[in-house]
Amino acid sequence: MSPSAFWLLVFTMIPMGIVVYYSFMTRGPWGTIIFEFSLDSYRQVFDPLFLKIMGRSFKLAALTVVICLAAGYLIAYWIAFYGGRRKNLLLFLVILPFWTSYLVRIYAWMTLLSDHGLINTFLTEWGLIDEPLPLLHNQYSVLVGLVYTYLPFMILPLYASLDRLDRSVLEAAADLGATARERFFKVTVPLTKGGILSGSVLVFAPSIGEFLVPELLGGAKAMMVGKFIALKFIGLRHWPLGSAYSLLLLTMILALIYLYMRAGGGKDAYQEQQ
Amino acid sequence: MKGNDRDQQRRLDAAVEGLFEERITRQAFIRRATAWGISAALLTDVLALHRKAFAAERPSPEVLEKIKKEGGELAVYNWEEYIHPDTIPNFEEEFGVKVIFDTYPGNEHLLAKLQAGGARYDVVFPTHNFVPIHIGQGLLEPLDLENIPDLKNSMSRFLDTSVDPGNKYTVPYLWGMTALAHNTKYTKGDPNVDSWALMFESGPERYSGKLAFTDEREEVIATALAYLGYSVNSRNKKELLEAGEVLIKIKPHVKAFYPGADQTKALITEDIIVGHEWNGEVVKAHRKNRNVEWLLPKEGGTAWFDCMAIVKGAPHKFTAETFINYMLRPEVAAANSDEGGYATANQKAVEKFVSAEMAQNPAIYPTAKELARLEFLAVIPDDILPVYDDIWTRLLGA
Repeated sequence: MSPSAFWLLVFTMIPMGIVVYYSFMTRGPWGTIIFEFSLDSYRQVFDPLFLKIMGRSFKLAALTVVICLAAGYLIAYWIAFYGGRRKNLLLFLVILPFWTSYLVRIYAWMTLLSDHGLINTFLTEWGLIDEPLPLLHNQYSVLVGLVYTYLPFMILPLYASLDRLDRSVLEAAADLGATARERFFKVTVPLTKGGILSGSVLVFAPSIGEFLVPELLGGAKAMMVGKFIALKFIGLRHWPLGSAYSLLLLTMILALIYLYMRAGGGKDAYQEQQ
Repeated sequence: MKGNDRDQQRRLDAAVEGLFEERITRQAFIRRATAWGISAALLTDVLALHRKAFAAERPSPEVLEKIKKEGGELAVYNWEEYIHPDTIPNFEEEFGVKVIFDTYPGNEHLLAKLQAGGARYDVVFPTHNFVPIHIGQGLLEPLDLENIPDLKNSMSRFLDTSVDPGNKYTVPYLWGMTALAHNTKYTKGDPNVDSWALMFESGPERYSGKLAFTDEREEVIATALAYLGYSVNSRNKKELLEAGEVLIKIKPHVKAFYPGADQTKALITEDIIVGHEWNGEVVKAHRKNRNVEWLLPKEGGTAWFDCMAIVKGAPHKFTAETFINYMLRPEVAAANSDEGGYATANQKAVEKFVSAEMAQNPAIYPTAKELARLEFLAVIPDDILPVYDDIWTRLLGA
């Protein structure tokens, strides 16, 4: 077995198999799991509230992708084209936040955004506002948290695409009279489609199921689908139902990604040419 | 030491006395003595004397042997900020144990973690109304009460209760109430300042966006039940749904449903004016901001007590029992109570060791009249649990 197949089996297939297995079991007294086959969970799984919260999560995740794409492309482009000798240092800075606990970084955002946090204190002291702005505990703060957390996942694949972009193609386009704008949209963007697609998926998939950011920055007010599923596990103590919801979420994400990839073609135009 | 410094002499005497009466630990004594410039020779003398005096009270060789046999380790899983910082180091020093200490923000997290298995914790601290669930799921190990003789120090009110008859699985730790925190700078003159109406009526009008709740489902639903004049343990579906409506109506004015102890900071910084909160957190907030006060509304509130229990299949069961017994020592219990800001269930600790600031604070030790207004939360039976889940999911998802 190749290492990657082993990895896939141990860390993806087996855990997924357990979730599938649990989803067909029965809830016992006090929330135990009785290992008897049952379709009960799948009968309960179509709660309209789930769809509503799924819609909100999709909206937030899609916005996260759009913002990350805009900002990430700019950053990756700059590093790839103007990074020069400092490219590695700049990439290192992109991944540097991962060296600190994710939880601590989210708490840091709470310190920045709260009513008496750094931003509000600064603005009030300078007399720019009278009352603190409600920056924390709403959908916007959740969006800020999501973009902050997942931006590196967008930058890295974009950088990989941009860095190996054949510069002579751009020179040829310029020689043939393409403006800077045309060169960007007709050459650079199509040639880095692979990076755009994989970056988007890498940002979208974890964003839509995110638990911690809405919990802490949303104050449990901007509920996303991860929390909904967590409540089935820990609040209702119904593990089979929670598992069924997890699979429903997974199926929906896979379907969305499939449609997206199909629409996008899945490969760099550059790769296709070769 | 400077012979002419009488103040220093007095402080040293007090420290030595404290050391012998176990009010301070050896480590704390050494720290202080070193800071005061006490000579090493004198320090050695005092400590030798102390060791001799307490030789009888030190754990017996058999106990130490048994602990060593279990590996000299212990994994403790406790609530956040719920123990005195010296408690664990002192235990480690006295019994030669290395303690792994983790914290959780809520009962549901604890339960889910134990249910998932593989966490390998020895001692956990479930709240009383979650104890029957832990027992029902077979997650706890029966206690050998012979190894926990200091259980006798506990208040009878917390012993042999309906959640664990005969204390087969649990012993009481700290207890508290859940009601309201409010900032008197803003609530001064509010006519509702003795009632849940402060949250549900004045809240939307006067403190919109400055209201908060804990994120404990039963506790939050209990607030609306109390406001409506129903029992906080209502099992009547109509009453519960009505409470759900009250909560959904107030939600747009609520800043957050804070997990764990996160609300405390927001109370201190006055981001929150009226908050549904645990009494100990209000006491901690009050220490930093004198305007934050505790309020037990006239309609009543909930009471709870946290328990110490041993996880099924715990690898260090004897060590865990030794630890629980150590936690039941009056001076240890008192230190944890003072630090955590919650009342101890230890009668001896309350009588002798708890600080006056705590003992005389009605926010910690309520008067008899206030006690009568409290109702202990009961465990939610399986048949009504989906109603609670539905109300809660709809409230958070609204």
